[in-house]
This record gives sequence, C-alpha cells and structure tokens, in this order.
Amino acid sequence: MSELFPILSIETSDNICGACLYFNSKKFFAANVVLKHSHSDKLFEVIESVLKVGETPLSQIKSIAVSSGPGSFTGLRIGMSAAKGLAQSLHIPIIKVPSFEALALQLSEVLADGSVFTIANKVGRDELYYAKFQINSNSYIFNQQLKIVSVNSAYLFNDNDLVFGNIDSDKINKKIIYRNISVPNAEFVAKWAEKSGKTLSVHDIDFVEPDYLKDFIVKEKKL
Amino acid sequence: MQFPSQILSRSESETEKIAKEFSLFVNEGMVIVLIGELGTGKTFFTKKLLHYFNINTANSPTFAIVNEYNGLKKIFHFDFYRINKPEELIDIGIEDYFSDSDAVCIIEWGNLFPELLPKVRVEIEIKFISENERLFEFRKL
Repeated sequence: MSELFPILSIETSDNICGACLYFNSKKFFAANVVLKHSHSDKLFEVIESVLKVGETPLSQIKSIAVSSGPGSFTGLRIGMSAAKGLAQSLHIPIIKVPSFEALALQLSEVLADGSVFTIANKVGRDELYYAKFQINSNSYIFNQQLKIVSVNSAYLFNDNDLVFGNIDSDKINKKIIYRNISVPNAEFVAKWAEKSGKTLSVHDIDFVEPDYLKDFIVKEKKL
Repeated sequence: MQFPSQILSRSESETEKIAKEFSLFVNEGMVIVLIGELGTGKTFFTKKLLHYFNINTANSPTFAIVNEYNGLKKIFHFDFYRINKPEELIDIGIEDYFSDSDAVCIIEWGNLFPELLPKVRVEIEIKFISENERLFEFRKL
C-alpha cells in the first residue's frame, strides 16, 4: 500500500473544487474551494497550493485519487481529465473513488452509530442520484444501492432520515435537507482511496472514465 | 398573463410589451422553450425579455450554442438550431445547466430535441401571421 502514498486526490463532482495531498490520516494538506463552475479555472491552482503548503513536488506523488461520480457531467470530466493528464505524465496509477461513498465515509466521522441517511443529488431537473446508507462502526453500509430515481419519488424519503445533497427542497416533502453537503471534501476522497485503493488502483489509464451512472443514451428524433 | 393563452402582436413594440408582461412570471429554475420558424422573432423576444432583467447585451446563441448572462437573474440562453444530434448537447453538459435551479434557461429551437427537455417547462410558440404580425402562444407543461 505504501507505494500509493502520498496520494493526490481531486474532487470536482459538484460545487467543490478540491485537492488534497495525503500522506496519512494525521498528515494531509487539503484545499476545498466552494464555487460553482470554477473547476476548469481553479483546479490546478488548488492542486499547486496543497503541494506548496505540503512542501512536496509533484514528482513525489505516487497515485491520483479522483472522485469519479456520479455527479456533474462537466465537473467529472474536468477532474478526470486532470487526473489522467497527471497520471500519464508521472507514470502513476489512478484510483477511482465513488463520490457518494466518499461522502458517506466523511459523514461516518460525525454521525452516530446506526444513523440512517440519504444522499440525493440532482441529475438535470427530473431525476436524482439516490442512495441510502447506515453508519456502522465508524464506517457505512448501503441500505439502498445507488440508483437514479424520478425527482417525484417522495416515498424514498422517510420522516426520520437525514437527507444530504443538492436536491431542491420544494421537490420532496422533507423539511430538513443538508443542501450544502452534497459531495465529499477532497481529503475524504483520499481517505476512501486509502481504505480501498490497493485493489482499485489502475495503471492502464486509457479507458478510465467517470462513473456517470446515467447512460447518456437518447432516443432518435422522430422525423 | 394566463397559461395557456394566445396574444397577437402587430409590431415590435407590441412584442416588447408581451415580453414585459411575461417577464413578471419568470422565476429562477424556469425552463422556457421558444418555438418558431426562422425569422419569427425568437431572439428578438428573448432580447426584450432579458432587457427587463437588466441584461442588454443578449445576442443570438446560434453559433455559441449557449450564452450566459448575469443580470437581475442568471440566464442560460440556448439555441439548438445548429445541433445535429442530442449527444452534442450531452457533451456540453446540458444536464448541468438544467440542474442549476438558481438560473433561468431559455431555449430557442428546443422543440428539435424534446427528449432532452425537463418535463416541467414553459413553451412559447411564435407563429408568423404577416410581415408585422406574430401570434404568441404561451403554455405550461
């Protein structure tokens, strides 16, 4: 596993443009810029800033962990493009980190054992990326696997569930939604990679791509 | 203004009044689809509409596909006329634009790719009546 450290992690799947230089859970350097539509503009500045503060040249990075979705189509492409460019030039592997699970890991550090929570993020106007988790001994388990649901599927939210995500609150009958927590911070992308990266690191990066989840297949136009 | 409704415009200044009346109903998160043949005034109507949101620099997005404006409201102004297949719209991240519920999306020629449009939307169809007359049809889906 040590051959993967330090990890440079990248988060661009929604409104956070983040990077983390991660050595271990007690030593990491993270920067998370919360600004919509800033990823193409800010990502490399953010990466440079964590490397500078961490006094580590890019050449010493051993792996890239990238938040791979689901999430913003354009955001994921920006993050993945940056990750592949860096991995290619440094000859290091990429670790694809499922964005919802990295957020679940982040929440497992603050929520009580046994807490049930849902993450629901928008796909366009009519659909949601949706998954339900339960905190289990400082980690998480899936209560419902990640899937795409109609935005009107109000029955998916129980009264006692905590809901995180960028879902519009007027779309569901749920008063409390943690809208500003929809994706993980960059350090939790790295922490997830630390937990599961050994088996998921990929050296042959040609075919590594984001997990959009949604098949962007559309019907032929009727003539 | 009611939905559905029809309003006849006999001049550009009347179209401007229709745009002003409609502007009162425009909210963040709304998707507005403009339907009409070439030269019926889709872009003209949009320019006049955006004028009421303090945006005076609006231009046809035919070549840029999408123009973004920040005035009293944030506006994404699309034109699907030059789009050949829906994958092109997916490639520019159309879902991300539609996900932004702080913005208003205005789509000229949106009827070319109805399968990509949000189910809830306002459609404005502009019909050519004569050189100076246009019939505006407003409907909510």
